[in-house]
This record gives sequence, C-alpha cells and structure tokens, in this order.
Amino acid sequence: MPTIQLNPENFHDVEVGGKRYAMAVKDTSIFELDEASSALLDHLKSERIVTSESLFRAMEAKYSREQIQEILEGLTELQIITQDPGKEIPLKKKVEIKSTPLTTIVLNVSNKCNMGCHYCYGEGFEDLKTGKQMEWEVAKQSVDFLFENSGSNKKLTVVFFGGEALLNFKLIKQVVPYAKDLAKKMGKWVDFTVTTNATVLNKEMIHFLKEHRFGVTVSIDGPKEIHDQRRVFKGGQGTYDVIIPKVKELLSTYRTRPIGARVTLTRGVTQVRRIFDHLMELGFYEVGFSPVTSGSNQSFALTVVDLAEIYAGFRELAQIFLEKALKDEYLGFSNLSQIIMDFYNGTNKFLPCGAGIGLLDIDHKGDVYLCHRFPSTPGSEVHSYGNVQKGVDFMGLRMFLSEAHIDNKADCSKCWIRHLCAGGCYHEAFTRYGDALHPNLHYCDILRSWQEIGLRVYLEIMEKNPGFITKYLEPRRANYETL
Amino acid sequence: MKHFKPVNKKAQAKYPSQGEETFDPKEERTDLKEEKADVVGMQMPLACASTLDPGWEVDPFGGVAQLCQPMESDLYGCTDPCWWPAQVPDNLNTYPNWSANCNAAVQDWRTLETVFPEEEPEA
Repeated sequence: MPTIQLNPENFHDVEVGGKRYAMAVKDTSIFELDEASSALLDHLKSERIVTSESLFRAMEAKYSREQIQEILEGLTELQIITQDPGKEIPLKKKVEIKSTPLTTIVLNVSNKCNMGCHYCYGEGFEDLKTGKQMEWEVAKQSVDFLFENSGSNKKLTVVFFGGEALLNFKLIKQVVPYAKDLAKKMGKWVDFTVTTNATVLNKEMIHFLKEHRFGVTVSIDGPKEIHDQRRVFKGGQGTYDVIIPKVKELLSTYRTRPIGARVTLTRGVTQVRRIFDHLMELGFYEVGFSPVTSGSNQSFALTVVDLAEIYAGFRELAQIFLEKALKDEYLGFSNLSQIIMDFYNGTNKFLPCGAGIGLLDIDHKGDVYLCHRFPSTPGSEVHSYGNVQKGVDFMGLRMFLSEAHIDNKADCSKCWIRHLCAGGCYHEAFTRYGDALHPNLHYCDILRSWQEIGLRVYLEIMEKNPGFITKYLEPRRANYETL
Repeated sequence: MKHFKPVNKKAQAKYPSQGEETFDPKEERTDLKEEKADVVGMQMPLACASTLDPGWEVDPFGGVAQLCQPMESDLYGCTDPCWWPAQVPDNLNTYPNWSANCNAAVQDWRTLETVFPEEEPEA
C-alpha cells in the first residue's frame, strides 16, 4: 500500500495574523496555505507517516479526493512529503564548484591600526611603528586581478579595509582613479566602500569619499560609556570623544549615500536598544550589530546570558521596525532588513557567504585570503590561496568551497534555516573550532529564533503593507554591506 | 498546486502555475487600492486605439491648443506597449526607462532625449 511520509526538515510553517504559511526549505519559496492544505499538513504532522488510504479516510469527510490529491502533488513538488519513501533513494551528487568569477576584492591597505580594541580579531595587526602598508604595485596588481577574473560581472566593488584603512589614504587616492579608468576601458562599473574607525577622518578625506561616492561604514559601539569600554587607543584611553566630531562632520556633509554604523556586541555590551537609539540620533542611516568572534574563554566573549539579552534587544527593535513599516516608515536596523530581503527574494544558499566565490581578500603582501578577517588571524595561513603577484590557487579555493557546501555539513541537515545560514561564518568557525568548515553550532538556537522573527515580520508586512518592501528595501544595492 | 498561494518572489518564479492569485507587492499596495479601482482600464494600455490616445494630431484650427491632452504627450505616445515602428524609443524591449523621468509631459518633456545604441564592452 502506498505510503506518505512527512519530511519535517524540509519545511517551516508559521501562523501570522490568522493565516497559515509554509516555507519550503529546499528553495526558500513561501506560500500561504488554504484551509484544506493546512488541515492536511496538520494531519501529517501528527502522524508523520501514513498510508494514502488512511489519509484519504481521515480527510474525506471535508475534502474531495481530487483536492487531497492536488495538495499531495504540491507538497511532493516542494519536497515537504515523500510518497512511497524507500522505493528509491536518490544518491546525493557530489558538488563541484567550477567557475568563480569575482565581484569584490577587499584590500587590506594598512596592516596598522592606531586603536587597540580589546576584541579585535586582528590579533596579528601590528602597531603603528612596525605595521606594514600596502604598496602601490600590489594594489595595482590586485585591481588588475579583480578585473581579469570578473568574468561577465559588470558591477565590481573594491573594499578598503585595514587595520585602519584610512591610515593609508595616500594609496586609496591612487587606487580609485586607476580602478575607475580600468572600469571605463573594460565597460564595467566599479564601486568603492571603506570601513573605518573614524579616528583620522578629516575634511579632505570626507570630500574624497563624497566625490567618489564611497559606501562608508563606521565602526562605533554606542554611547561614550559603552563605546569606550573596549574601543580604545593603543594606550588605553577611549576613542569616543575623538571620533564624535569627525563622525558628525561626515554625517552632515556626505549625504548622497546612506552611512551605516557597525556595532560589535561583547560581554556586557548587550544594550541593543540603547546603542541603536544613540547611533540613530547621531544621524546614521542604519545600524548593524555583530556579535563578537572569540574563543569561549576570552574576557569579552558573549555568555549565554549575554546572547539572551541581545536576542531580547533584537526582538524589541524588530517590533518597532514592524510598527513603522506598517505606517510606511523605515527603521535602519540592517540585521532585520537583510533577512526580510532574503525571505522576499527567496535567497537560498549553499555556501554561507560570498567569500571565495565572489569575494576575495588581498593583504598588504598581495597574499590572497578567503575574506578580510583571515589575514591577521594567527594560524590562518592554511586559508591563504596564493598571491596576486605570484599566482592565485584557484584549484585550492574551489576544493575548499566544494567541501564547504551545506550538504556536507551533517549537523545542519535537519535544520530549517540551513539554506539561509549555510553553517555560518568561516572565520567564526576557524576561531572557535579551529576549522573553517565547522558549522557555527554555538549560534544555532539564537539564529533560528531570529530567522523566525524575520519571517513573521516579513509576512505581516506582506499582508498589510507589501509596497514597503519595493519602496524601501528593494532599490538598495547589495554592494552596500556592513563588512 | 492550487492550494498554495505564493508570497515571495522565489515561489512566484518557480511555481508560476499555482493558484489564481499572483504575487505582486506593487499591485497590493493598500494605499493605492482605491486609485487602482478607478483607473483600471488605463493600467495596461494595449495600443493607442484601446487607450483612445489621439496622438500626433492637430485641433480643428490646425494648432495644438485645443487638443484633449497636451501635445507633449505625443512625444512618448508610441513608446507604450505598441508594435508600431514609431520614431521613438520603445519602452517595451529596448529602452524601458526612456520616459522614466517624465512624470508630466508638459513640464518634463525635455527629459525625453535622443537615444543611442549602447556599445558592447570589449571582452
């Protein structure tokens, strides 16, 4: 007798505003269920595996055979159920990633940083005297490398990163016109972004950033007493008072592109709402929060209690975001707007991020890494893939990426957000577990709850004010990211 | 898959045959609903005949002052979904944004500029 088996790992269902929705995990398509399909799903949820006869018997009183059959076909197509399980078990294909055209390079233009934030992942960042800066020759070859390996991608991005990137402003001034020229010749478009601690920002720099329409992200942790806890100069004094006048100048003069603040959350720094309000008051367009990367025994590592507080703060902001969205107003909370867009588009990831596929990092020596977080992390040479001057190891990179495919992460195989998170940050995994391919298991619960909130907010917006997404979120380009 | 209504782009794109209702956030914008009901016939002009676009005409006196719509509207009259090979860029296939900056023809007709074929970038 034919049997029907529910695959709970292949869908996630929620009820929002009295309506029932289901997301198919395999491709992040989202549907509203009608009464019949909702009832059928409930029946399957309570039984897990049924014979088709018993299913028809149970449902027949209310729904026709034809209706039930239609629903079963739909659920099968979405892989939410398997009809006749065991009859045929398809072998998983081994994934091979073949072509990896670039869209973005991150240039670690300065290995130096004038600050000494306690939580910096750049344990290897050197101090002001001994630190190295990228030379013009390396930068030029890196830009050439980006263009040569960009395939048919038309929009390219050069990200300036550090240490503190603006300590090598001289080089940035050389790279920008060179890249623009090259873009013109090749019929492409190049965009620039920079992440800075704002300590050395001056009028000339602001003018330059404005002139070339840089995407700018400022690392700042909130009000003075919070910011100065861990964002300090090498000597230990807080940086808040130094950066604030500069940040204000930046925010008041450069208004053509939204400027974002990036906050690192650490032990004791979990007052999400307070930090958010302060930074919005300063005039940032949006704020993104990032939990610190650390081994669990470091003094700034987040504890379970901290994570719960952060999550509560995120929930609070999500509620405000939703209320505003329903009134057709935008709240610049990038952690949420990003996942709303994921649900809207149906983003479905096999790899956690663009590192290695569209994006590569190049350090001051020209060495190529997965992303900007790796070059300064001790022991991360294993994730170096050659050098722009001596040759880049694309084979090694592809092997790594094929290994990183979500299907190879057994821990993730039953999780409903596996195609939204894809195991999480390589660098986080490398620092935490010593293995870049290890799933970020310490964040699983919080991430699942967070995605659930995002999904609910998305569905409520779609129900009550769907135009909000096309008006505020859709026009934004992917190249404005909080790195 | 009649019993599932798509509520995101992926669902709409991959399973287009589903249900009768389609997914279009713009269409569903609540504050535009009333307006939409009022002008439903004009939302999707199929040709100048069905939109009653007089187009390229003069008034009984040989001038343009008494036309039922400003003469500037004629400038992009034929760019609407229309198969007629008019001497204006077509916004159906090749220049979808040609008239994007022209909200009111009387004021903004200067934004309707000449177009040139886009050059293919060298490989």
